[in-house]
Amino acid sequence: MKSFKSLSLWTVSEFNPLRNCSLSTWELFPKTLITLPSASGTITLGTETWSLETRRGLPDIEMAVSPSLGFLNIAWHSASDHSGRIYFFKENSSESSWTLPCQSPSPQPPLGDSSPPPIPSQITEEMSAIFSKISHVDVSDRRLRTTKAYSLIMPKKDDPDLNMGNRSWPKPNRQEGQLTLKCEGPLHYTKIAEGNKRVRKNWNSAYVVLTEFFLLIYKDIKAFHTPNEGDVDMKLDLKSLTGPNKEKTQPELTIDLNGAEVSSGEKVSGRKHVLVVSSQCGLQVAFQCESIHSVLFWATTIQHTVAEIPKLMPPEVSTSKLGSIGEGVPDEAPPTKKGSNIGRSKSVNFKNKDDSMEDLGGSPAERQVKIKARLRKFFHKRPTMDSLVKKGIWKDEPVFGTQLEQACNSGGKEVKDKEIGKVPLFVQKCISLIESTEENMKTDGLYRASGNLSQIQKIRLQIDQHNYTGLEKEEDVHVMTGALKLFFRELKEPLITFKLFPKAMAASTKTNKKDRLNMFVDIVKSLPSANRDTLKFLLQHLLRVTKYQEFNRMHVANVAIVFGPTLMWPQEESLNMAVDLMQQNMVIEALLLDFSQIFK
Amino acid sequence: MNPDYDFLFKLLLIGDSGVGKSCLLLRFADDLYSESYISTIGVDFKIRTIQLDDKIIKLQIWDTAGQERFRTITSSYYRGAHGIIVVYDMTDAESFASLKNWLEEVDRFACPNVSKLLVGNKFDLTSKRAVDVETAESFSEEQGIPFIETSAKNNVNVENAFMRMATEIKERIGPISCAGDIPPNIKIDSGKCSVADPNKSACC
Repeated sequence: MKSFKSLSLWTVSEFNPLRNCSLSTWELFPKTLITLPSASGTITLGTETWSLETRRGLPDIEMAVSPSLGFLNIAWHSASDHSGRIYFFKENSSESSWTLPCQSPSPQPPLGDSSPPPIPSQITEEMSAIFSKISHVDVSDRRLRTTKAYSLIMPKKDDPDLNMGNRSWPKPNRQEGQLTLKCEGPLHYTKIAEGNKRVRKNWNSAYVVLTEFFLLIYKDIKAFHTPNEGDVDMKLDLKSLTGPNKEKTQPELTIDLNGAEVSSGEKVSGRKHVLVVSSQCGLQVAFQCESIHSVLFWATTIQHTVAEIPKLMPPEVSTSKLGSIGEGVPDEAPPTKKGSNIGRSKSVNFKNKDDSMEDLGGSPAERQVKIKARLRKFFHKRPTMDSLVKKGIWKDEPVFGTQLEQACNSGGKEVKDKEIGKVPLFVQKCISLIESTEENMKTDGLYRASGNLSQIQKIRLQIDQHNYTGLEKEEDVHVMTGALKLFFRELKEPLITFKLFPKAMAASTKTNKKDRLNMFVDIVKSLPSANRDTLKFLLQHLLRVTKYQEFNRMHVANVAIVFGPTLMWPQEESLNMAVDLMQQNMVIEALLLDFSQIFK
Repeated sequence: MNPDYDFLFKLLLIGDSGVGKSCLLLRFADDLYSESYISTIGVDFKIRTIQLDDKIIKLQIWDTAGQERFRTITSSYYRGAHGIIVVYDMTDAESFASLKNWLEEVDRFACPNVSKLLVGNKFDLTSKRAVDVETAESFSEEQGIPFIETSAKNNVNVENAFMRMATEIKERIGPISCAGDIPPNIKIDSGKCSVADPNKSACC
């Protein structure tokens, strides 16, 4: 958010040293975030081929090019810094500028379907005026800003990075549940299909807003800029931005861009410059743009947005700091860009009741897809495990996912067998059940093949309630082995502890047998007693498993591969994981092969 | 552009441990079969270049370990994959039941429009069959994923399976290159990928 805010200002200063007044407006309006392939070339989109003359030619795209300040009545104050230079800062914000922002070019976007006015040449003049003004900025200051700007400005034309998966794009701060506005502008639109069923075309003018996940269609620009009441998140920000005018407006239509496709509208409409966006839920909407540049721009931008969605949804995101949503830190500075507002309103806009009712129609299969999409959105926002642990909602399980020492305490009393020592009751029971029949031990791929995952989880939950009946009644040996492997994988610290991980890895590479043996003896000795006893108990069992190798095909090496990553892993993911993985297996293999000497 | 091939597709083999992913790959890439029963460690990959229509396609096939603990590693390989082959063992109902989990994983980690193919391996062990064709077919229809039965051991349909995948990907991204880490929609190299290509009709 902060970076976005500074965008409009720093970008200008970035260009200042260049004094390059021939820069196209595209490069100067960060909000538009356009990347186009090259100065001239052919872009194929759907079946229609558009050729693009040049990127430098001022595009007649009807979009709001203003850095949004033009729409707002925000108080800016002037002040002078320690060296006496005058600068401007915004009320209630940490934002400042060398120039008064209203001097920055901010043409109002054209409303309705009037043809877009060419960007007046006076803008370029204004630019140069700004350039000369800020050229007073001293070098150190400028450098500071320039560094900020680097990641935010558009790559230059001949930038090798210039592709649609551009890495230098400002990555929106998703962890805070915000959306970034990608572009906006007035277009004509009509629904073509809904829930995969064709509907009557009904062209309407609208104000279209593209965010990272959704394409929002508002009745007009006013509707878009008016906040959605009831949006707690937004109230804070909007008070300062839009004043008392609070009409209830929601987008007329929202298109979920996840998996959406953009195609040429040639086939669906006789109109010119039409593009079609088809969402995964079978919603198809056609948009008519004013010009070929415009349609091209929208198509590329939407397509790029769609392409970015999966990349932005790595698994880490769902477990990241999303728990902090709503704990908005006040000094995060109120957003000054419309884009930010959109971002904040995201959650509310899409909880829009009518919308969801309408959306969930269709065949069961479609509904399933929609429910999935909805759940994905939901999970995306769910609190992290960390935050749940902090709040005391998430507690350690008594057996799975705990420390081994703790798992040795079954129902309050410590399990300590004179003969075998400290071995968790679950491990004992599980192994004795696996060994209970010859048939089990002869099972092909014992420990390698997977058991039914839901059954394994069921047993896990029962064991956590100290209920062993499910395990005892289990008939599928793969479920038992799966549960045992799960137990070891879920341990807070692996059986071969983090501390001993490097030593064990080093030991496995020793070629001298005696050295290796000694190191392993050392390692085993330095393990905590519960770990040592359990490791011994498990290895003995695994050796018995390998005795049946002509039936179960589980020879020592194979068992070692299966248990390598189950019994040990590094505290922090290492860089050469591939090598580590091999070595982990070698550790287990060595432990198995020299078991009798190591555990004398 | 690399002169060796027109396209490079990244394929991924996933599925439960022991269903025969590595054997399928070994058969397809090297036309070999091995009775050895060794788990894959982490990931492994092989390359085979095929010709489809008039295009040379390089298939980079990643074989992932089915072992649960390896999954944290293998999930990172989903990114940028053009096609994902989900394998189950037709003699093992459990591996078929796991397909749902695997497909969820695909949804989670892979590009949403990635091509998918369902492969029932071990066709040679008909007597031990535990998943019948009808069940598999109805599942494949329900999921909207094409389905094929193979035998890596007897070399049944292995070639077909990979070719089918390659064809599908080529059709999907042929005109507009769009998947994984390739920039989604724009390919300007001398109109090679554009639909209206005069050179193409002239030379063929």
